Amino acid sequence: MLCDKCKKNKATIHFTKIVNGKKIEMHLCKDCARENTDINSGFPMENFLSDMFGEFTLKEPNTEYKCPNCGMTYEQFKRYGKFGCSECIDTFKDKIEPLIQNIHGHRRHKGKSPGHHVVKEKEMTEIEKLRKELNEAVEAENYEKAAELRDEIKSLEGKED
Amino acid sequence: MTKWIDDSGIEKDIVVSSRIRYARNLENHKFPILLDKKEADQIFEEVSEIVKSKDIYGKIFSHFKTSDIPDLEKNMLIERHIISPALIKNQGISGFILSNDEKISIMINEEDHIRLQVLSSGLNLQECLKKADEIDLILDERLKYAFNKQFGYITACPTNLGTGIRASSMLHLPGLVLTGRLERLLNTISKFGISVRGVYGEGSKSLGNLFQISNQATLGNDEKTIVDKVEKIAMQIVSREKEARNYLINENNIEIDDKVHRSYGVLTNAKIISTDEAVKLLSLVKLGIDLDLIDKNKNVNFNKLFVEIQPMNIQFEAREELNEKERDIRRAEIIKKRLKRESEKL
Repeated sequence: MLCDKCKKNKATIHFTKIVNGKKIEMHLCKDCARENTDINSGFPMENFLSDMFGEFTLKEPNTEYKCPNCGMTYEQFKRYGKFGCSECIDTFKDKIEPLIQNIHGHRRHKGKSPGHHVVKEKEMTEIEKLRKELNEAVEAENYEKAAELRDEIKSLEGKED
Repeated sequence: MTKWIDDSGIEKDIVVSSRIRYARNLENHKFPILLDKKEADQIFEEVSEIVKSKDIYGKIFSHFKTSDIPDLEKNMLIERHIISPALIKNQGISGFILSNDEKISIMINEEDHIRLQVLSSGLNLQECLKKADEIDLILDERLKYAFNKQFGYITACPTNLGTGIRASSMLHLPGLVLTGRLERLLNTISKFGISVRGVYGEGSKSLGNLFQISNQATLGNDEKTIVDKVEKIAMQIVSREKEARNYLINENNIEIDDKVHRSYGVLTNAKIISTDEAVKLLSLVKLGIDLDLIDKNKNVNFNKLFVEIQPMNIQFEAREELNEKERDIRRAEIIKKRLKRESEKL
């Protein structure tokens, strides 16, 4: 069997990864394996991921998508599988949300926040914060959460009266 | 050498090590894939300054630019699980900061601006998380982390978004492999969002019966929930491994005793041995010692030995480049010395 990557040398290293019951195999020669694997993942995740972009992201070609901050285009992002800066994610948001949902099974962060973000959040009143969260929940089509937030806002507004 | 593996910790017969990693980026800099050297050096200096100015568990840290380190040494650090191949791939812009006990490392401009890693022997994820959180907070006080309310900490790769956390544990599972129970267990585990891979070799056919488990998703659950899950699964696997070992001893004693002693015989007599064969046999000898089938060598730190016999570590210790055959000879000598020397003490 020849190496999947260089197609020249004999494949001596065989990777198997099972994701949600789906088996993915990769056969590499020693040299290519050394270049392409990450000891922390044991699998050439980078290439695998860019292959998966085609599967999960929206199909229509759109050359307009370009990050205003770092200049990375959506095509480049698809090729590298990596963002160019912290703004890219907002630029490509519509296109990559389905992919993120697929990878993580979620599309909203839960957990800690950095200091600069926490300070900003504290400046908002509780109701303002909930209203903002409600809008975001509706946007994310998380109607269960939205209903909860709506009730919470109602009860807080009741208290103010 | 290999200081971070000190053969202590909870369930150390089965759990080799625990690791917490945080992926972090800075808001005001391009991500490593677009980074030029000048900006990269600036990030290195910024992080470096913070570590130098703070007392972090009283530890002494060394600061390195990857390109300043000889190739042999870089590859040896990979074998010791301290740095990653991706860091070397980015060596024009990358660097790392390492504590003197090798338990805390910060890789700079690898895939992300910052990869903070805390390692420990045994099953010790909670302690690793506590330390990682404290160091994360120290960095957070002076840096502006890239963060987005919806997607959490922004990482270069979408697979690390959200918490940016990877909690992992390395397990030695010869009992489950020998009883043929591993495959089914691994399939069940993957349904819980935990990925498993062989440390040496591939998939469930891993050499040396060493496996690493870690969380798959990083977005949607908080850090503690993720770490608790990995730890619970690790503990489950440990109890299954113990069951399998009991089964081997009770039902299959002569076969397992034979396997262990054959391996022991080869390792203590071989003149030339490959990494693959050595890893495979060492795993069986370690099992034999854990099960009291071999009463010598109780004090040998096998977790350390697994790393010491890797090709780059052998060359590093020899202080010279060796070809494959020379390494295989040297490897047989190292193993014989470790195993025999311990038995002579008794």
